[in-house]
Amino acid sequence: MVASYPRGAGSAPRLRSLALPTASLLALFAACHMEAKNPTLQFSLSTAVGGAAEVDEEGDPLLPPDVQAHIQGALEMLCGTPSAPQFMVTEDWYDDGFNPNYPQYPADDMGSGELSDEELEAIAASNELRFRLQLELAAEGRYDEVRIPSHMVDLQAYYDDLRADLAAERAAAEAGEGDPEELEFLEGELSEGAFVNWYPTLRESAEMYRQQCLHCHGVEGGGDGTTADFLNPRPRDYRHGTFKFTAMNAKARPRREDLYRILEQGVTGTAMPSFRRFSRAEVWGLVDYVRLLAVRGEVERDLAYTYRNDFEGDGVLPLSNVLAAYETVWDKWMSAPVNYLAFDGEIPAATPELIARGREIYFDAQSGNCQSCHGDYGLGDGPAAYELNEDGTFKLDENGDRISAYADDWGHPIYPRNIARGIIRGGKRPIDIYRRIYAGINGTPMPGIGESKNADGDPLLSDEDMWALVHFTRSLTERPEPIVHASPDHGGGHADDHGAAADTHEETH
Amino acid sequence: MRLLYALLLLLVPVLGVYTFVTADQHGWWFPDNVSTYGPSIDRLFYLIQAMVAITFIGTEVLLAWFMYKYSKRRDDRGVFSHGNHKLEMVWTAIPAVLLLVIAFAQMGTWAEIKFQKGFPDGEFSMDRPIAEVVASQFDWRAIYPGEDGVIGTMDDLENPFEFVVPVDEDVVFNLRSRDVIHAFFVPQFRLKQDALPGHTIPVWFNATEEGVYDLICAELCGWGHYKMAGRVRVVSRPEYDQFLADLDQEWFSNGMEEVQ
Ligand code: HEC
Ligand code: HEC
Ligand SMILES: [Cu+2]
Repeated sequence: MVASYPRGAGSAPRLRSLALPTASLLALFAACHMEAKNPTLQFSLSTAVGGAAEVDEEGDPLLPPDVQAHIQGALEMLCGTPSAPQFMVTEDWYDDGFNPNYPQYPADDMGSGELSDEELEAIAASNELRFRLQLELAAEGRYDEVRIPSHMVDLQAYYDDLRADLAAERAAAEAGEGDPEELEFLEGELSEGAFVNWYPTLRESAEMYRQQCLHCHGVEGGGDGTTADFLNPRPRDYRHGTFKFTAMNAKARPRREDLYRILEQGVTGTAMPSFRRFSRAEVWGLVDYVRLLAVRGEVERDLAYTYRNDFEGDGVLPLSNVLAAYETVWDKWMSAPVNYLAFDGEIPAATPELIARGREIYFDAQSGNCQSCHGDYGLGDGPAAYELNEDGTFKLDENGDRISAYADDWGHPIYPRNIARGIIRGGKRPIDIYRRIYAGINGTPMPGIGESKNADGDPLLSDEDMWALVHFTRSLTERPEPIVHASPDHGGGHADDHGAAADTHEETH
Repeated sequence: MRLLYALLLLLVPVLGVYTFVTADQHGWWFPDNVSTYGPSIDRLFYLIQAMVAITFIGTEVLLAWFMYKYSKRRDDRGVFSHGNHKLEMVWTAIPAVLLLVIAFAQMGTWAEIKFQKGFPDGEFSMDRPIAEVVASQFDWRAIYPGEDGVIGTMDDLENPFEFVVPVDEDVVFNLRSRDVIHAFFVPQFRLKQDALPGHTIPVWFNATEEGVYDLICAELCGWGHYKMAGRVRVVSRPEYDQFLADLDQEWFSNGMEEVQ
């Protein structure tokens, strides 16, 4: 023994050496028994331009606090809270039997018919896929082992009820009483129905949104979640009701189907992923919740605008005005199908001649004029899209990047797409690109030329010309080499340095 | 006391072995294999598993025994030794030999799965892959070549998230990444292949059972890695043809069928 400890001190290190593992074991144990507590979310008013909580340069709110409180209360009445989201049903709706809270699922009549029978079948099929393990367990009668995804509060409650009823019914059957039909129904429902016919409520979708979308799109759908600052392009702010990749003409509100398609396809080349890993029912539910957030945001902007302009910032808005705003916004959403955009006819084949015609239009300043923004090579470097110096060269910022001449509806600088990268965000199908070119891209400077007229009042582009443009745009996305370059060598445009143009403004994704 | 500690240490191999032995019952073992080359991958796994198991049990037991035997007694002096040449030779040579065994044992399997000259050359081949699977932060999409059989042209068909293939057929596809390194991993196929930006990597498999299999990204690729999920759906030949026909129809639709 080398060292000798003074008595008494010797026990201290030993005690600690025992205490540490014990404490960490206890901590581990406690952690295993801890339930994650979800914070209760609240909708707040928007501080963005046009929002009810917007502030001026000094940081003073544009609307006084009592007015803000009034708007907050009105919105809560109309759309509920994140933990209890619910559309208010107006009197007219009530009379018409329209209730957007249950867009398709009052238990037996499958609702307002917004989803077709095939769609409902598809939902059942995809539910079956999603719940296949649970279904197998239930089919074997192992009801206790069935695990329902945590956010499906209502399904869990229904399932628990069924189980209790089944136990009671079985006991009754054993006692020689009870109803065999009821027993059969319960068993069937438990082993299949509860899962296969499941459709989420708005509350369940809100929880799903919290888990899947909130970190990008924010609590109110303002596109201001915690991840948003790191993304380019930023996540969509739904509160304008403006959506980019829809099948709508005239900047109309999207249909539910359009939002569904976006959720299913994702927006390639951006952070917005595909959500096909969820069942169709869940995705439809998310669509409904996005719609709720959009409606809420639009009503908020509408009320804030009214207060500012017609009430000079004070006074109490009568309920009738609030309801009118709500109904106006809803009317826009309900009228979506009227503006549905499709091509009534057969899509012409993408022949080289048609593509060549498309290229002409692309460069023609009188008709397509796409080159002015998208550049000679489709690289998104056209002169019209950027701030220029007097001599026509690009103005550069301190990093040497070009400065966008445009901001989008949400106030962010926006650049024309580099089409030659082959990434088309709104979908690469011919009809998708047709819709983008025909109707433009909502909220951005990308114009719709489908209904433009020339000086004589005739359509600027014939159907064939439109498709020529579509096919030409598609040809730019080919690999490894586009069939026909949008290059000056092939006519049109002016000389430019291909290489330099290629890498100056690459998108970040 | 030293007996207690030695026994405690012995718990490590005991519990370790116990978990392995019962893993199957708890569903912690491999998912069922559904690919033609899966069994030879599994054989390699079990070979290595056996080597590791023997070494693990041997060293752990020895460790516990040493702990008991040589634990410090109050009045002992430490003994300083300076290595044992023979012993060191032995414990260097054994792993070296084992490594060689593994190296030789895996050669055939590796060649079968990854060597390009061994690639299937049927309906789908390296020149005519069934599709291109593109990984990007954070999702998967399959791009089918369309009528002309060439990927990257105007008649390509894209399917996000889901890669559909026919059952019992040699399937060759190209793997690409749009941004960072990802990895295509389908546990049931025993197939894992990195996707490197700038590279087009041919990959093949032959799935022997219809079904839906999770496609997982197996390379930490950024903050959303955990949710970078896809799906491989293995279907019968007629279903596959139908899938392609449906996709084609949807792709070249004029949007009118949606008008009520
Ligand atoms: C990783 C971040 C991220 C997550 C998670 C995310 N999004 Fe997005 N989302 C985006 C981005 C970025 C855009 C904008 C793309 C653009 O502007 O081109 C977007 C756009 C959208 C759009 C608008 C599409 C259009 O046509 O304008 C909708 C609707 C949408 N997201 C819904 C959702 C829903 C619902 C969820 C959750 C299930 C979700 N997003 C999850 C990033 C995200
Ligand atoms: C005023 C400038 C401007 C003009 C002119 C213009 N675009 Fe665009 N274009 C844009 C901007 C900006 C975007 C990107 C929008 C975004 O990021 O959401 C875009 C995007 C696109 C996209 C990508 C759509 C998608 O889904 O990702 C295509 C394709 C396109 N434009 C084609 C054309 C064609 C064809 C023309 C000529 C008829 C044209 N553009 C004219 C500004 C313009
Ligand atoms: Cu990845």
